[in-house]
Amino acid sequence: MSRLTCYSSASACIEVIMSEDLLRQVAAELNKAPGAAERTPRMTGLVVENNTRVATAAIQDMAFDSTPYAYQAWLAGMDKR
Amino acid sequence: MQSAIAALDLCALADAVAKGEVTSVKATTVALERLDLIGRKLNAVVRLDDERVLNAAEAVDKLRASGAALPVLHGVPLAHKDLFYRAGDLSGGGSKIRADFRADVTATVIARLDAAGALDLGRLQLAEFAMSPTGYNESLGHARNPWNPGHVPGGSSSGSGVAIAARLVTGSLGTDTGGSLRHPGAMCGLIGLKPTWGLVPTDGVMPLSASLDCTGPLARTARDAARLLSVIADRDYEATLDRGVTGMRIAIPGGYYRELLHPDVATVLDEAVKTLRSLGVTIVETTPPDMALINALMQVVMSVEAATIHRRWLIDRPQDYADQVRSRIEPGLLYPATRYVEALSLRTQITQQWIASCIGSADLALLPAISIPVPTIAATTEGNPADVAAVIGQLTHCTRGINYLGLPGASVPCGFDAAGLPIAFQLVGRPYAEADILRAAHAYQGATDWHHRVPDAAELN
Repeated sequence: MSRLTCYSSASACIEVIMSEDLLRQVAAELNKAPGAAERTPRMTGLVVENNTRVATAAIQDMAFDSTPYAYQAWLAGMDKR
Repeated sequence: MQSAIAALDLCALADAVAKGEVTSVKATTVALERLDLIGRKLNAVVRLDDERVLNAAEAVDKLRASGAALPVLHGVPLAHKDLFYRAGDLSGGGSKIRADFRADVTATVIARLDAAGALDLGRLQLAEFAMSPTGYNESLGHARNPWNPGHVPGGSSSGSGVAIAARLVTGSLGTDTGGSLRHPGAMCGLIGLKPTWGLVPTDGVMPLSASLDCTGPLARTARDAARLLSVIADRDYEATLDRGVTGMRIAIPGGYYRELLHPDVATVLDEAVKTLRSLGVTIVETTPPDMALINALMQVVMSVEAATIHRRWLIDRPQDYADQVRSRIEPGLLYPATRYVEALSLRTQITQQWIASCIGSADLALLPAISIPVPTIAATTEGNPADVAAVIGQLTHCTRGINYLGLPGASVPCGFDAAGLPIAFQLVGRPYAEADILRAAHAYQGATDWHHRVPDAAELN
């Protein structure tokens, strides 16, 4: 089991637990990729770390009314052409 | 004569063809011969379309002779990364899996180059599926750095970098998802310009990660890059090129961006900063935000989008990926959908924070392009996998985050290391600051001669 409970820049840490077995299941059953499932052990550390960082930042900093499409609108507004 | 033509940069060649000093047929013949001889030796070439391009060259020479108005790249031969589709042509993406794929559309950027009079010689080598900062390609062979063939040329637009540095072509289109224009630019001694995300069309270009992918030019000079960007972005980047940099403010972020900096690279970058100061630039120091978060956001977006388009082959043909490539895609299968949406939803505010922290009140930020000297091919392919992964991670330390932010950035050659390999700095700007980046790079190149140096592999002497 891989666990990352905190990182230095977070004022409020979120405990995230992702077991290798869970990730293996996601690869094998949700994505139908048995080869990737076999290689889960080498990916677990990276996935847990990135998942925790993003999950924590989202809880702390992401506005409730945010949208993944806001970035394109912001970029368009930055274009002075 | 052949060497004299090969030595011309893109704008000089375009001028020579427009004035009739060099025919397009001659320029094209020289490029084809050099790509076939030197380009194949350096493993930079995937495919050349000799007959078609020579016919096109004859046609453009006739057009010039007729006195017709000529477009800005009239009769200039170019070749591009093998990700750019032309209807009816093969487009393998550096892979075994797509080796037989024939496009049924032509990329908008290729059509824009056609309309500007450029000739399309064929396609150049790249990392498998554009997935390596070194240019690593296990199935097609590694492209070799013309400054020292034992070293990597940088990727993923490796063949583009090699071909321009070795004076085989004057310019080339590549793509940049985590540094794939800036890496070969830095490692081959070229301007590699990653535009603002969305500025240049990416339709008809094999995708890796749609939210991060950018199409852009590689060239020897900022002026050449400006000419190419003007065509593919359909805007004018040449008009402001000569305005100088007096009064420009350039920020130098410390912290994360200095963490891995090799002393030899640091010395060369310090000299480049002195040169910029001498040109009238004001230098200010800034402090980057939490880059570990930005790198995590980039990894989530890139790997999820890549895994989405590759999943069919990860299931059916996993053995046809190099392990080094597959290992960068597969983590994308494992993130919850909420992480991906969160990563995209945070993009605006994280980008604004980075700009405020790293650029602040300045016009541009100056970062290392690559923090370490250009590694050997062996150092990035052999030995302990953890050591190889560490070197590869170091290569993207200063580039990959910029793709999540969507900001424009360019490599600018500024010296050489002890082994004779190029060193470069990277200029990064606010969205749509390409003109400022090119203006600063052009002013710097006007005061230095790094971009005029020619590797022995070019065989021009």
